[in-house]
Amino acid sequence: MQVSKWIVGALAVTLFWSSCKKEITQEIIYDNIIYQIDTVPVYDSNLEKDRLKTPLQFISSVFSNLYFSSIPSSVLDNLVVYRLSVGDKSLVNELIINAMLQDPVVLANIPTDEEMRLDIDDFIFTTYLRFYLRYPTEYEKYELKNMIEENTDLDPVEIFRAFLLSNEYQFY
Amino acid sequence: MKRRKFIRNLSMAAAGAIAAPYILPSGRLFAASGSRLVNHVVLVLFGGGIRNQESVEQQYLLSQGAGPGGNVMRNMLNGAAPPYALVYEPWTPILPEPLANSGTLFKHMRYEQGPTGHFNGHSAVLTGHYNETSLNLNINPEYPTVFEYYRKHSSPARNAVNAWWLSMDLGPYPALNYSRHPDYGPNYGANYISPLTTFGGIGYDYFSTLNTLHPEELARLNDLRSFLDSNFDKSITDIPGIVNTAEDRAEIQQFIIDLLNGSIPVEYPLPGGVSPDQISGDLINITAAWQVLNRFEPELLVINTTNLDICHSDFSSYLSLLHRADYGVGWLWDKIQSHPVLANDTIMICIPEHGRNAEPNAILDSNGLFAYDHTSDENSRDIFGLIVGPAGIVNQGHVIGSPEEAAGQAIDIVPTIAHILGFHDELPPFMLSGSVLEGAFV
Repeated sequence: MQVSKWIVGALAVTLFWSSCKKEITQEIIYDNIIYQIDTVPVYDSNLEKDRLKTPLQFISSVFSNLYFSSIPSSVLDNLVVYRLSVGDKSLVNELIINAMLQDPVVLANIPTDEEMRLDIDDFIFTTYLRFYLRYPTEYEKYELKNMIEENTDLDPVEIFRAFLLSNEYQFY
Repeated sequence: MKRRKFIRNLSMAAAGAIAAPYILPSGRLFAASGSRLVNHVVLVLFGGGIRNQESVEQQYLLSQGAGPGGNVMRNMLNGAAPPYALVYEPWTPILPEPLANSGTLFKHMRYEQGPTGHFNGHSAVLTGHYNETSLNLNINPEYPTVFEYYRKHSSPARNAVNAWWLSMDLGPYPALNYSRHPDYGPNYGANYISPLTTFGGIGYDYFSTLNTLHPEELARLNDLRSFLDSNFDKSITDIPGIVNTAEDRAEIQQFIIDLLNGSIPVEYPLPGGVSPDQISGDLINITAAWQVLNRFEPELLVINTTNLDICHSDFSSYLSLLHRADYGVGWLWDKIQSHPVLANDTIMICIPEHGRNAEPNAILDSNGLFAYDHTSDENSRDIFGLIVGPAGIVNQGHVIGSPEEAAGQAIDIVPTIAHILGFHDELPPFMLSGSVLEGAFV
């Protein structure tokens, strides 16, 4: 009888403590906010990307990826309207991206060709993470490294342009 | 015996099934080629809503009881200008004789069904289908557009750079370059631009200093994109919008940048001595249309004019803008006839998207003239059409239709263009209810 009282007491204390666990919250701060997209730190695979970015999402993500800041609303409004005025969206995306890639502010955020070739593995890793929000596969690392090594004219600006114009970049 | 007959029928059916994919809707074995009337069509949706009273009927101020009659469209129509009480600045016609002399005027056509709304009217002309209800303005039309029929059924199939749609303003109009139809859609759509925006302030601010890529840079970019795209399970067809070939896309991009940075000299449709501030949005659209025609020599180009919609509140400005749009159309035809490829190989069709009411609303302009809306009354369904082209192909100086007996409808434009460009017989017969405007052709 005495023993069972102790057992019931111990159980009650255990339940009490387990029901009053302090809730731990983790705050994640993202440095590249993309409007209307729930920011995902890293995708496990590009198969997770099945939703097409809206024009607003696409332009704001290009801007934030290149400028490391949110796009001013007036710029976003202008570019969304301009994008409406051209039927070939791939063409107008190229115009927008090429214009941003000519901006000295953006160029200052892009590694030089020398920096890229000093550590190609690291460049590929950070580029995939920056634009695709995922790590490259072994095959992608191998192939892109080959392309960079074999083509000395291929510079970081061109690589960034290709990532931004790729089909994967249009999805999230 | 029955078994033998069964086997024979089965064999014939099998042979038919094998052959069927090669039999075109027209019943012929191979697509037609060389049955075109000309190789280029320019369609002007001469719109904003124009009453026949002020256009082909040349009533000017008569219907308001405020002045004389007269022709304000002297580049398109025969007839003397209003002799007095001018509420617009008259421009000397650019053409030595009106377009009506170089083609067939359908003086009274019908916009037969559906609301007389601007987008409905555009959609009826471009798809060959009326819409009984107001359309969802933010999505592509349900039925295929003339661009899709042209690109899909021409033989060989044409690239997007051969088909262009230029709208004066944005709004719902960008959606008219292709439909939602499952058998057609963006793969057969037209290139679209809205010149006031594409070549306007935003374009100039952001893209006029842009350098186009060197061909070697472009080749490296395409290689890299191919590699990146090969590792992703969605393709360009999963992304909305028309697709040009890489070469055409580069050429169009160069064209846009050239116009923005001033590399291409731009001439506007203005008579000598007229102030540049007289240029209207319609005339800018016509200017851009000429640039596209001159650069790409497309087989099918459609433009619109919409400034005349000011008639809801300002009748005098409506007349002035009608006069200027007429000049623009004359100027465009003059340019086409000066082009080594387009001259004598182009048919131009002009048609308003709808008319306007018989009775005015209560709004008076500064000259004391009443304004007109378009609320689907019978008068707003009365429109005209003008088809001009080379003698020997298009009947010259011919007039068809009367107020009592209209000839032709808005939905006849798609089959007529198909007839001109030689793919009418290839169209699935159940897709269109309109008819070719045969009376225009020799």
